[in-house]
Amino acid sequence: MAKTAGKRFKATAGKAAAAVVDPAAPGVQENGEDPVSYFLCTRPPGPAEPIAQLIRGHWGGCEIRNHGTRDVQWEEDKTRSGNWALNASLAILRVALISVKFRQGVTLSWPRIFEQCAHSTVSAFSLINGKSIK
Amino acid sequence: MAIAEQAPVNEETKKEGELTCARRLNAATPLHGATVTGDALNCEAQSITLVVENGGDALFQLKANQPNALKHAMDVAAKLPPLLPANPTNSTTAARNGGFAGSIR
Repeated sequence: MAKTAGKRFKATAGKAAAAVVDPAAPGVQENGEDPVSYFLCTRPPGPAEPIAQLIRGHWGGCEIRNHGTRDVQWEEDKTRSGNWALNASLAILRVALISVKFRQGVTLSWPRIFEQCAHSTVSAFSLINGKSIK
Repeated sequence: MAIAEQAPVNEETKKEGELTCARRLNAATPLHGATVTGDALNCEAQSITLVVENGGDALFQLKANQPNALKHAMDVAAKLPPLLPANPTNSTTAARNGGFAGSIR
């Protein structure tokens, strides 16, 4: 890909660069995983911090809060319904719920939140009214 | 979090996968000044070209599904120091000075 993509980059952005992130997290190598992550980036070379923030933002926001929650935990992409309006409406509600949790700074897990809201409706109303729950 | 696009499934998009959908979204969304991040699935020439042509920048994880680019990145990272300059004058100079991991051309 490097050669093909490189030619295209020259015609478009004019440059392509590889960013390397070494999390240096203890235990990563014990799992047999490569401790170094590589990224292909078309931004001009510069300080590492903005790139690191983008990478953390992607994994925290897109992959974990969105994909990990909606598809892995709630199995949204396994829906058997072919009703587009229903699926879209439920997706919007799920996204709104995720946003509320994030905005209120709630650190509880989703099963814990559901358990708590099922046990006491006060918790559910607190979330909706902009208050955090513990 | 925002939903960038929603469209009902039709015969054309019925068997559309994540990558095809992402390409369509990248082509249709104004990306000036934005950096599009993605996992290794998106790290292929067509997706990156679409993002760049649409005014944005791409930052995709590089894994073994692109063996040549990964090998090149590993070679470059092994040869150059990881420290970056605070204000690189341009990408070529920065890369030559070891200011960045390297350029793929």
